[in-house]
Amino acid sequence: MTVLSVRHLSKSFKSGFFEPAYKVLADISFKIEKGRATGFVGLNGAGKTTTLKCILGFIRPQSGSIELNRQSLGYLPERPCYYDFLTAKEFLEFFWKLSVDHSDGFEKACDNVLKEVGLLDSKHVLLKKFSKGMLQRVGLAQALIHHPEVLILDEPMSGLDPDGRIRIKEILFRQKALGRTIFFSSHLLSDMEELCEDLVIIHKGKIVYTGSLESFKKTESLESSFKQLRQQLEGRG
Amino acid sequence: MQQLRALINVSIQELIRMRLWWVLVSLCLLLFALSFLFGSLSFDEKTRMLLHFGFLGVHLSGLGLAVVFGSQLLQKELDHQTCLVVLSRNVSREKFLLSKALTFYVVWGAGGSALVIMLWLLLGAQFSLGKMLLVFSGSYLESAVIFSAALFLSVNTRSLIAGSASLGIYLISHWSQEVAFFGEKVGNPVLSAVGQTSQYLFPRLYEANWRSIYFIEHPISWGYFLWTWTHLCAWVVLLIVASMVTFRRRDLV
Ligand SMILES: Nc1ncnc2c1ncn2[C@@H]1O[C@H](COP(=O)(O)OP(=O)(O)OP(=O)(O)O)[C@@H](O)[C@H]1O
Ligand SMILES: [Mg+2]
Repeated sequence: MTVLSVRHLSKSFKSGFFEPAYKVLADISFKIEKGRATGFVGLNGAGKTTTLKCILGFIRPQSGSIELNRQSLGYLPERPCYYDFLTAKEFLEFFWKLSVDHSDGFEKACDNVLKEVGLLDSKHVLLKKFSKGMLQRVGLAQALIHHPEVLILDEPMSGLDPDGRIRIKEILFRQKALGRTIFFSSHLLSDMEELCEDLVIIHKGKIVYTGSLESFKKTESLESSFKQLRQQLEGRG
Repeated sequence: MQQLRALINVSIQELIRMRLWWVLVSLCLLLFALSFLFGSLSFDEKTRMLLHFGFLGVHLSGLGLAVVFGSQLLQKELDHQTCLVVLSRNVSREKFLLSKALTFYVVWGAGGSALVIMLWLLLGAQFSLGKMLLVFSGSYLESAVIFSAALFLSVNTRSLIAGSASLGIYLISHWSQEVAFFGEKVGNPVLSAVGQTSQYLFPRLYEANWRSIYFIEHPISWGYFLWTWTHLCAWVVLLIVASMVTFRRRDLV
């Protein structure tokens, strides 16, 4: 079953009033299947964040359509910026109230999710005092607290220490085991290789591959296959 | 409804923790104290002074809060991208914007009323509290309009511009009547035309200027009161709807 389908998405940005529009996404189409983990790969500036923002409705595309059920969704933004005047618990409670109709069960869910991301000790600490990695983790906790069916994560492993990275990977494995659909962008191909079944590759605003990870990498590692693809694309100009 | 409540709750917490709120409230209290002091110099002027400066303090605080919060409450969320996670939760942009507006209306409604009650007590409860709150309601409406204007502008421009432009709207809205009057008096058709046109283009804030002992002693008629309320509330609604429409179309990059 398809959870998310993106069809013929295009987006241009104008950096100044007199500047010509600059095409960031050019006729992008792909699908995400239910219960599978899909990696979103591309070089810096390829258009990953822009695509995710279009999917979530933050950016209005010039053309194209997106089908996604937004009722049960967890999102982790690229930059971890949250209300820093709240404590971790208050922060999570706020997001709980935005998504769940009743308040019972919050305490348990909060402790569980904080334990999962390794922040239980900082439950009553203001987010202002969090380090970047801690913010990244509390951001993930926010995306998980209401047990969403679909997770859209923009570079969930960035800014984390090796321990934190392993922890996030474990969390994503557990979410997968629960049957959740995960769509995330990352530059860490080795992690992606372990986690994902499917792959969407974007290059200069165009989709150059979409399909299963196995059939993309064939016999080599993901990293060398990706390198080859890049050389091919650059050779073509 | 629960979403709206949660949004307003967090917004109020943010406001209360902002220093400006406390600075303005303390300034207002300082003005109370000063007018109390000056008032005690000449005994028969005491009431007038306290009433005049008291309401002036409340009014200026409301105006300051409206300009600053209007231009910053939403803009800050856009700048820092804190709104993204919230909007990913099936919260419509309209609801998000409405929560920001309601936050100001609630906070200043409660805070301003508290200040007026304090003023009433300082005046030895010699006037009816109802009348004083009626006078405050005019000032409250003015700040609600200015807040909404600043919010609308902040969706479309940077917050510094939004803040100063909304202050400009405040001044024009107060002067338009005088400009028209002055133009007629000196027989300058251009000036009176400018004054009259701006009365139609801008909210008529001067109609809600009831901050003097005169209006406590001679309360305004209900018809006039209702007209002013309707007029200014219509402006608030218009500005909020316009903000929603433009906010909906904006890319949150
Ligand atoms: N608001 C904007 N105005 C103009 N150009 C933009 C804007 N946002 C992004 N871009 C451009 O769009 C392109 C894609 O940016 P995007 O952030 O989607 O890349 P990305 O794949 O997420 O990169 P990274 O791996 O560095 O996060 C970049 O070339 C960037 O310069
Ligand atoms: Mg990115």
